[in-house]
Amino acid sequence: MQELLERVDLVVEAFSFLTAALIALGSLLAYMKTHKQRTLAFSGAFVFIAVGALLSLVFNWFVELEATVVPVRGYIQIGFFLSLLLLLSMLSTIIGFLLLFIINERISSVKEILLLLLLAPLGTWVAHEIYIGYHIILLVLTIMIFHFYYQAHRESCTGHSLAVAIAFAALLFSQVALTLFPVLGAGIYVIGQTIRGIGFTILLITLASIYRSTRLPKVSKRAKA
Amino acid sequence: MTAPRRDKMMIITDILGALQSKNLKFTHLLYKSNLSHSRLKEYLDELLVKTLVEELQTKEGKRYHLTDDGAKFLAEYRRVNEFVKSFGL
Repeated sequence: MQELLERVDLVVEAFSFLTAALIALGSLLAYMKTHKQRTLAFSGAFVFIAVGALLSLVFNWFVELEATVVPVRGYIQIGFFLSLLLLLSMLSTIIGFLLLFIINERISSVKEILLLLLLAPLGTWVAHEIYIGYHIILLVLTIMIFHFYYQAHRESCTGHSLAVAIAFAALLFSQVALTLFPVLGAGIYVIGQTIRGIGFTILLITLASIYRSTRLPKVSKRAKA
Repeated sequence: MTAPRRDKMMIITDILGALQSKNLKFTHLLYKSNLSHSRLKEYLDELLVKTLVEELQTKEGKRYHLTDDGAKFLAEYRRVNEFVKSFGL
């Protein structure tokens, strides 16, 4: 079970990194065309989520190699770097989701944004002390983000907005499973990570669909002069 | 309920969208784009300079045609707009 848990972790983190990086890129391209600050902030949020997934991927890779006690430069144990990686991964992911929440709630006051962003290191510190705290923080943020995308879909009613709402619903379910993991055991962790992978897959398919569905329009024939 | 005010980009894509299916005369474009004569003239001049639209001289008179660059611009705008709408931005 431990081996399966580590493998699922590696695959899901790699996939989350790829998807988040592509969404960040797509949003950056949208910013270059529209110059809307929200699209730039959205890109930033997914950059943080991608970095969080990448750091977590490196962390899990080291764990799978069972390299937790290898000395680095003779005296520092690699365990220190692993703790640092995990801490930075949690910080980056919390900032990413917090930014998504700020963008969705259309918070524009600098004071409010700074105050909310201060919660990220505080949350990371809590998560470092009590690991379950990390999943509880992400659960609260995911509930609010999912609520926004559900409302957004009810307003726009397009296939793509539905797919985004479903993807965030999957991320919410996965977060519930990951929060319950210490109580219900490793099996629920594998289920949670699998649902998370499904959520990111839906986001990736939606992104690909947006870029495929809007092909060049047919232009009317040029009349003879 | 009043319709939201269109920004410059929306007006330009409305003009290009109207020219997508067929070449139009100035007056037809005026109805389709829902602009005043002077404002449409301003926008068309800009689109002609940027070669997104071209002017054709036909038997029935002057008509406006969407160029390949104009079609590419329209597709790019629709793609970005769909992204922005889908992700609630």
